[in-house]
Amino acid sequence: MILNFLNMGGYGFYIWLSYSFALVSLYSLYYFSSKQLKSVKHLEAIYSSSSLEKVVDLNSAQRI
Amino acid sequence: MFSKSSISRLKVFFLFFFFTILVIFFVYKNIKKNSVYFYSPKQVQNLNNMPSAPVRIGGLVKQGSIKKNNGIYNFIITDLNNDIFVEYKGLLPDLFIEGKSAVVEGYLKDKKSFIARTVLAKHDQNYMPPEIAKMLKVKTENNK
Amino acid sequence: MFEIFRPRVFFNLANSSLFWLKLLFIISLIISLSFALIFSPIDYLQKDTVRIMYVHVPSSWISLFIFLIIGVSSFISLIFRIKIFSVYAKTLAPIGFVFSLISLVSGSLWGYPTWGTWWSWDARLTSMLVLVLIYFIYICTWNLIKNFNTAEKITNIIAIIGLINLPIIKFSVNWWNTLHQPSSITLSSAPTIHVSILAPLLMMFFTLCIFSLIIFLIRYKYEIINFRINKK
Repeated sequence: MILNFLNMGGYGFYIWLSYSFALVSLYSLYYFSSKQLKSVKHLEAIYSSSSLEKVVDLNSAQRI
Repeated sequence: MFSKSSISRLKVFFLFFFFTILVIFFVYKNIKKNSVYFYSPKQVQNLNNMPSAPVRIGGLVKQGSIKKNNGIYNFIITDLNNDIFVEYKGLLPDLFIEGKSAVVEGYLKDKKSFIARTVLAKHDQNYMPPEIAKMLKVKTENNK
Repeated sequence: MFEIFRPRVFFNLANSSLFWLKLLFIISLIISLSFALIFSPIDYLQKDTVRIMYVHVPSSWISLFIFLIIGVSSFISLIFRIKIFSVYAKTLAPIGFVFSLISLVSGSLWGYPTWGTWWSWDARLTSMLVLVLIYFIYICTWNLIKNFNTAEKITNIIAIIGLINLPIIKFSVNWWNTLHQPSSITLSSAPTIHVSILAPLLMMFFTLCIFSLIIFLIRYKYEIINFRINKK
């Protein structure tokens, strides 16, 4: 029963390889993104939402 | 609403945009003429001289045409008007089925016969469970 | 009107909704995976290989869609000098890159058992490879050029040029003879996929969209904080 499921009618290799490739690459994307965010976590306190606009001076929407 | 500098940048952008589109259009025209992934049997009939380099031919595998002897497959690639006899030694892909499309890669002997190095199955954009396919088949046979 | 483009908006959204998005993602991943691998029927011709489609097609859609957003954002940033759009584009690029890679690899793994080849230089496959390369160049440019303003301009131009590739990918199956089959789902006509196969496909698409949103929010937060550090 389980072997049958894993075998996928003889195409198990291709199916499981493509699913696992997708899972591994998506997980590593998540892992590295979180790791990057953690590396600047100690700075996050400065960016309380009220003062964010002043600190991050990249918004120039009004300049349109 | 927009600042003057924005508008001037926009003008420059559209100028460039227009020219790139023009260039791409010509490149595309050229590519379309020169690079053909595969020929249809009809295009093969219209060829003036036989290409010596390997070519690809795509079309339907004619119903009931697949024959096998001594490990060599013979079948017919057709566009329903023009037939090309193909000879191939090797393994056929799973989706290589009579009545479905395929692409063969190899050398043209003449306008009617072809020696294939590689056979690729081409599948269509229809997906359905086997039961539905069976029902559809019964339906079309009843309509006949 | 431009309130929504303030840096704060997505930053706050990330703080308030990441947990719920992750929860939604896990639930929808479990549901769509069980449909994709267990409950969905096999195809009448392709048998079980059709299950690769549930990874391949949503990844391709998302990678194309993300590049579209990157291109449009770059256009706005280049012409109207609104920096935040460059940050959006920079944030999205790695996500699109990973999805385009998944699309190529799963497509190759699907091609071997069905077509009989891992790779073929037909128009669709080649133009998709070009997309992966453009993503790669785009990300490299951001990483190699340290000055934000210079990197911003160059990447904006790369993205706008790369935008040309999108219609080529989309219509390659109609313009040229390709090994790749034409689109099953088009705006102009009914899908040629039976509903029992279409449903898991759309579920998987939804799941991967949620995933992209999660990664976007995480990366966006990082980019905003990082932007300030680099500026000092």
